[in-house]
Amino acid sequence: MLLEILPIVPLVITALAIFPMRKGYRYMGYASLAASLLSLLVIAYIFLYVPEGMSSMPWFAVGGFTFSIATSTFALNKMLLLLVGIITPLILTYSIGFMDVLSEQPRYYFEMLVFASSMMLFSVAANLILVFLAWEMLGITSYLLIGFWYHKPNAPGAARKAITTILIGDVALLAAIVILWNAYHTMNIYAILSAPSGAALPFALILILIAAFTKSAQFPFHEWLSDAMEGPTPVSAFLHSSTMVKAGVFLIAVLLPLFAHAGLLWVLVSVGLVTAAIGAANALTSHHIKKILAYSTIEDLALMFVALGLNAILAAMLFFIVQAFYKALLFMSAGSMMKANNGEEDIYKIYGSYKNKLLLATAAIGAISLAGVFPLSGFFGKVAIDTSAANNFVVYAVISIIELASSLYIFRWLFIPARKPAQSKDFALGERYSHLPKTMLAPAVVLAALVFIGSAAYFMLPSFIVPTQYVQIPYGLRIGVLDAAIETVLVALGLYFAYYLFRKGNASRLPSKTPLRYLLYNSPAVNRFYDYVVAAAMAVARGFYRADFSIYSVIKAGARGLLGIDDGIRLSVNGQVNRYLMAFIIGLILLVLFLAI
Amino acid sequence: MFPIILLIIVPSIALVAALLSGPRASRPISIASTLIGFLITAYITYNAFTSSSINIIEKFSYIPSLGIGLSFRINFIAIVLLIMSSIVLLATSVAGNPERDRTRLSSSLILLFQIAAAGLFTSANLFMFFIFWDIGVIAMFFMINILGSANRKIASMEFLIFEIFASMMLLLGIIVLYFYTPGHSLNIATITQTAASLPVSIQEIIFVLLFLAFMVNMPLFPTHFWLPDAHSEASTQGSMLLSGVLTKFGGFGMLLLFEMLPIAQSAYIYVAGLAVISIFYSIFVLMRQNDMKRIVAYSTIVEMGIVMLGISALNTFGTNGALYLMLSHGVTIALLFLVVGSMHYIFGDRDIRSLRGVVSGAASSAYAFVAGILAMTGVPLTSGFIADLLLFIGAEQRFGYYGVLPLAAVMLLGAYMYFAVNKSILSNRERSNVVHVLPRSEKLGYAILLVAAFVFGIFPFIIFRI
Repeated sequence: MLLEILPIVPLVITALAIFPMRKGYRYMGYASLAASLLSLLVIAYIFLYVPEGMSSMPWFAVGGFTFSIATSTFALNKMLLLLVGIITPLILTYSIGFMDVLSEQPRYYFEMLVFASSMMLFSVAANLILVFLAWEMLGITSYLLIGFWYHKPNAPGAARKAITTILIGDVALLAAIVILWNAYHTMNIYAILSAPSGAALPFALILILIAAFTKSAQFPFHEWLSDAMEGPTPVSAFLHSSTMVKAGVFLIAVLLPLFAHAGLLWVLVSVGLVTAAIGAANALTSHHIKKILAYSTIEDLALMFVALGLNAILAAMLFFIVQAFYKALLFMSAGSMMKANNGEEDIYKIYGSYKNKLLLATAAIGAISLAGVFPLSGFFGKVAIDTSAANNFVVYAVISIIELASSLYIFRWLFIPARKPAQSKDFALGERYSHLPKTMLAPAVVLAALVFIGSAAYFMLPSFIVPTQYVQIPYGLRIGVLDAAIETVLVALGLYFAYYLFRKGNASRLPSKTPLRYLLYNSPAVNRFYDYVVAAAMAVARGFYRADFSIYSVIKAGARGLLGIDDGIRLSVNGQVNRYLMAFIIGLILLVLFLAI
Repeated sequence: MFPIILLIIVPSIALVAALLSGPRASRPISIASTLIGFLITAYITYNAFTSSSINIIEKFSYIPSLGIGLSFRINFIAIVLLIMSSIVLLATSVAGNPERDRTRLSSSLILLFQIAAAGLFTSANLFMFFIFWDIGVIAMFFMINILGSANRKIASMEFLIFEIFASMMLLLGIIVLYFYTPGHSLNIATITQTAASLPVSIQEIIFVLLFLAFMVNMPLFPTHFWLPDAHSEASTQGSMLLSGVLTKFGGFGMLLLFEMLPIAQSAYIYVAGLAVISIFYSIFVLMRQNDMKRIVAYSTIVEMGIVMLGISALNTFGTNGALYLMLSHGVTIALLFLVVGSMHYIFGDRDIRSLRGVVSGAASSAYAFVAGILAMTGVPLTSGFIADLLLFIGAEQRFGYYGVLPLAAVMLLGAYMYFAVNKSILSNRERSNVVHVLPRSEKLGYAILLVAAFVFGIFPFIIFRI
């Protein structure tokens, strides 16, 4: 019964054990790592031996209807579960080296473990209640983790931006759940998928799309993800590779037959293309070593949505897997470079990554995989999406341009920090590079290996995710030779430009004066748009507030009047007998006069 | 069978004892009384949980010729609200007065309010309902008028204007009901059975009168004006009880009204419209507030509007959701008021424009506040989620897609709350000075309410198997 929840048990127990501690200790990281390895073992067991299936447990019943929670071990569930299980220990290992402030340890590992277990829970959730639970837990823990260094000037703002955007999606998802429940009287995703009429409810599906777009940072909800870089780097590595932002893509992937049935796939394609273009443009122009990667994630997720929109679920899932490896690797490399440069975040102020050969080599592997060079797994992911878009010229063209851009920006990302520091610069730089903790380099090596091994997913995925009642696979996973050739040419072109512009030359900056800048520097515009939305809401609020305030003053005046009467009466009831007597006599006289007249 | 009357006798004895005892002894007395109240409620709950029937009735005659007397009945609705009120009362008597200021008066008022709450939720006839209603209003009036802060006099007057109006409407409605009910009865069960035979015009009059009374108390939009001032001026304990329990008098009344009068069910669409207006009106007013206490106060109007929406859906899910939301809201709002009161005590400030760095000065309060927000915005594992889920399922069944529209208000509420958290709790640059250190009792109060919020969120079957 609900065996699939077992992997999170060690994580949750460790988290709860760490939470009440006031002081931080070094062993907390290792304890968390041990817990995550244990859960990886359980996951491996589930992956290998537990057959596909579903189990559920009643939770509570109202009015004759039972609300239950259910988990499942279908291919997609197992895939995501294994992915999270593999990434979690690597991130925690990296954290041991990266998070070296002892006082932060209990809070950090507590939040990380809850974050990881929420994602594991999400990956096996088979009904909407559990999906929503994990979804919200992801949102809250990411809020806490993004704002982890709340003393930094921008961290609370970034955390708030994230939670506010995600809140829109949460509410949309809850509304969708309510509507779906009323339509199907079940919370079970697979029961809904196999509902006889397959009556997909467009409104509910649009709400789910909004939820997925907020979670997976798609236009127009994408800006929170680049701000989320205020969090510690291991958090970014985790958030961008296997947790949180992947939740939206995964939810859509699971529910894809419903979207196909309702004819909403074009929304996925169009939003995906717009977002991918925006992400790639911003990644080209950003100077922030982590934000470049963040915009790149936005672009990657957008490509996954495009693939889903083309109904090519296998291509989307292949990219889903391989992206996790190289993105985690790139973030870890970025964190290591930042650490060696005293926390500097501007790529133009980060130098000498070549001083640590291992670091540079792993970073290069990640970058080459992102660009999509043949033997590495990124190539398979990207070309699979290209191939599935081959029938649609517009989509294909846009994706190709984006791939050229991504090759350009990732080599820029790789080359600029690898420059020699100027003579007068920091002499201890090489020292710091060579003294990077082993716990920060080891997971990067493992991930670099996974970037290679990940190519195997291309061959294994078609036999792993097979068409069932719940998963439709209209096209197999295919790589066209022409597409591969085009892609390789584009990558080479990007590499050449990047080398010419950023390696060979004087690390020049991209043009900011040409009309191109409206496309390239669009992040401020999006933020201004958010500001307008907030300002509009606040203007409405001001109107209501003014109305409320004016009615309030009338009521206050009334209350004051009553208090005045009260005081007046109090004046007369002062306990002086002579006054009472006088009042009595006056009253008597008045009464007599009244009677007399 | 269990003597429900103990729920009233215990606090009455405790009230006398507290009034006679010195200020030192009064606080333990009130804690003991509320704890016993909680235990009795737990016992009743346990009995109801294990036995099949949940309708318990007890009768004590007072004016036999008029059929007036103490008669108690406990049903599902009563149990849920009793559980909520006993938890809130326990937390209130434990915490909320860190200064230990005027302990005897505040403890006595809590005990008086305990009598009112226990009596009201278990009353089987409308006469008793009215009596306990007014006891509650009187206790609350003094909590504002004597124990409140600077502008307490005006706030208490506003409270009184609205509440007396409500009481008057309630009394009028009860009188009309009494005269038109065949056999002149005030018994709720009898009225429920016979109300359908009343002429429609009479039913309409009764509905309008009672609806006005409950609407003021709940409160809904045009009659909510007493609430923000009353909450921001009352003592912390006063705010906790006011928002946690007193507003539920109105909600309970609404549930009764919709159960009793058939005509109420045909007015559901207007009621729902009013609820939605109330929700959006108060959320937008909330978004311009800077005083933490006022923010939390306006959130009460939002949430009670959602309760009203659930009741007006007139189906199992809507009603159960509304009831669960009252349970959830009572606990969470008491927690939020307690935390805000504690912040005020610790930093001498509760304005989000000037309060800074709560998380580094008072971590437990900061965490409790964030947890309270989570419960209020309906995050799973807190009671708010079960409530929102059921309530909006009910609303969607009745009103279609319009029924889920008020979720937008929940989103705005969450967004503004996180904004407040950012401004005053997380921001760390210029930290507010810690004036007082928070006593342990306050943290115990947080713990009671937080545990309740999570227990009802994780184990909702405790309630729904009753």
